[in-house]
Amino acid sequence: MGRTIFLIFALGLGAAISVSAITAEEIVANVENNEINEEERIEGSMIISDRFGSRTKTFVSYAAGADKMLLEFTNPEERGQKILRLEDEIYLYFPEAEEVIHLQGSALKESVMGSDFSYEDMTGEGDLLDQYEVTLLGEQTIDGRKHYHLELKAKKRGLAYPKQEAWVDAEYWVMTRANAYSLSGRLLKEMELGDIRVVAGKYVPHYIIMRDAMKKDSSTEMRIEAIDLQADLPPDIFSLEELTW
Amino acid sequence: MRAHAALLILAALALAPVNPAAEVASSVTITGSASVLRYEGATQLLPMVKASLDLDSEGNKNVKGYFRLDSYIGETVGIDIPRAYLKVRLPWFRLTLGKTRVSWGDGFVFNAGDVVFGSMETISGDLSGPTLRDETAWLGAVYVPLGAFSFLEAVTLPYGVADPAGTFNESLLPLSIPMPLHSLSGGLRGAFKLGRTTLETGYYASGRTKTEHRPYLSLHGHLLVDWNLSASMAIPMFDPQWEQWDEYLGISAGLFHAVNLGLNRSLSFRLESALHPGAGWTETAGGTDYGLFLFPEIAFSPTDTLSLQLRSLVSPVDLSTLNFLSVSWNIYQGLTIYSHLSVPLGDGDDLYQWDQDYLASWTAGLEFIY
Repeated sequence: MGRTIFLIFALGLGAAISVSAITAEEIVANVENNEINEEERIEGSMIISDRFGSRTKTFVSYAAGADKMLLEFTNPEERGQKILRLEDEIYLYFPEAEEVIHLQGSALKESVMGSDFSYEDMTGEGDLLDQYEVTLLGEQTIDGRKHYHLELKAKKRGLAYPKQEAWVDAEYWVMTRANAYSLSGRLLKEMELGDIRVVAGKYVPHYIIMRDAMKKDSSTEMRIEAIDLQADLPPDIFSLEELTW
Repeated sequence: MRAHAALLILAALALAPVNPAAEVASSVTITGSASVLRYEGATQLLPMVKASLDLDSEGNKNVKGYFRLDSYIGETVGIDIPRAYLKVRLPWFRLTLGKTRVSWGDGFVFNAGDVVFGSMETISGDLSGPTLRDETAWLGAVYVPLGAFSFLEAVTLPYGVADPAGTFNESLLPLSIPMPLHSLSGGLRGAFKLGRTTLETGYYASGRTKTEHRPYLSLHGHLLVDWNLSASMAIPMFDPQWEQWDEYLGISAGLFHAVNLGLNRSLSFRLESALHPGAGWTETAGGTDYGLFLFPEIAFSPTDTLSLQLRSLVSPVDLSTLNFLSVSWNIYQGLTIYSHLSVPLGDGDDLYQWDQDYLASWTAGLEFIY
C-alpha cells in the first residue's frame, strides 16, 4: 500500500490523536488507513517562500506501501535528481556526477532542496505509534467541521519534533492542522492541510503549508497537481536501476 | 553467432513496452564571474561567462537521450560537448552509448575505486561545486540489474579518458579514422549488499596512454558516521616489476557526518584521504607524487538558501595546503550569488605554492538556471 506524499509530510510533522468513545490510537489507525494506497503516482510542486520571493520545485513521485517511494525532481535547477526509499534505506541520485549516495544516520534529517521537509519526511517513516505517545485532548470545530484534538509526545530521543499537537477531521480522517514544539514547549512549526478532494474513494488533501515559527515571511507549500491512486507501477521501479535511469 | 545475437535483440525489442515519442526538456545555465588571481607573478583579473544548454528527453520510459553544450566566453570563445548520450532499456539489461560518465567506487574527492577516470590525484581550481570530479568520456556500457540493490556493469571506452583540453576539433576528418582493437579500454564491476554495507568490486583494463590492469575493491556503510574504503592496483600490462608492488597500490578512505541543528540549519563534516604506499614520503623540491593527501571539509547552512563551506587539500609530506572558503546564496528562483576565496599555504618548493599561477584567487559571480 502507498502513503500519499502529503500525508507523509503531515504525519512527519505531527502525528495523531483523541477523548470520547474513540481512542487516540484508533484515530491514528483511521488516518493511516485513509492515506495508504496500493500504488500511487503524484505530480506535485513545492513552493518555498521567503521575503525575497518564492522558489518552485516540481516533482513526480511513485509510492507503493509505506516503505517504497521514488521521487524525481523535474524543475530545471534539479532536473533528474532522485530520491529512493526502499526497506528503510534512502538513496540519492545526482545525474551530473552519475553518482548514487546512500543516505544514512543523521543525514536523513537534512533538508530537501532547502525546504522545511527532511529526507525522512519526504519518503515516509516508521509506525507513528511506535514513535509517539498519543493522547486525545478533546474535540473542536474548525471551519464548521468536527475535529479531534491530539497531543503527541516523542517516545524516544532524536525525533525532529519532541512534542506536537494535531487536529484530525472526524469524518475525512485527514489531519488538517498540526503544530510542532520544542522540548521546552516553544512553537517551532505550524502546518495546515486543505483542498481535500475525494480520489478513488479516499480523502486526499491537495495542499500543505508549513510555516517556520522562528522566521518571518517564510513558508513551504506542497501542492498536488495530479494524483493517481490506482497507478499500475512496474514491479522493479523501486530499485537502483530505476534510480540511475 | 551474429544472427543469434540479432534475433535476441529483436526479441527483446518486441517484448519491450511501446512508449509514446519522447519530448525535450531544456534548460540553460549562465554563470558570470570575475576572479582576481595570481598569474605570472602578478595579480590579474579574469572575467568569464559560461553558458550551458541541456537538452534532456522525457516521456519515454525505455529510451533516453541527453545533450549538453558548454560555451566559455572570455576574450575568446571556447566550446565543449561534455555529454551526449542515449540510453536504451531492454527487458534484461540497459545499454548506454555516447559521451557520459560512469561512477565506480565511492568517495567525494579521493576514490581508489574510480579506476576508469582516476580520482586519486589532487585537484585544484574551483573547489566550491557539489561535484568536484565530473569528467566524461566516450563510452559504451551495459547495466544488468540483479535485484533491487545489486547489479553488474560492463563498460568500454574506445578513446580512453581524454585530456580535457583540446577536445573540440574544427575538422571532422579525424573522427572517421578507425583505431586498433588492442587500444580499447574496458572493464566490469559488480555491486552487492552485505547487510548495511555495500561491496563493490571490479576490473578495468586501460588500453591507451597507460596500459594497465586495474582491479579494485570498494566498501561503504554506516557505523556512527558514513564511511567508505577502497583499494585498487594499477599494474602495467607489460613487464610489471612485482618487487615494486606498493607503487601500484592506491587506497582511499572517507568519513562523513551531518548534524541537523534545527530551524533548517545544518552542519556537516567530511574527511577523506588518498594513500599511495609506494610514492614519496619525504619532501622533494617540486615534488607532486607524495604518499598521502587529505581532504577535510566543514559545511554550514544557517538558512534554507545560504551555505558556507571550508575545504582544504592537504599535502602532509611537504606540509602545504590549498584552502578554499566559499559562500553561496540562492536568493531567487534559479539564481545563486556566490563568492569563494582560494588560499595556498606553502613555500616555493611545495605542492601548493603560495604564488603558484591560479591557486591564490578570489572569485565572485552569479549563476542562473532557467
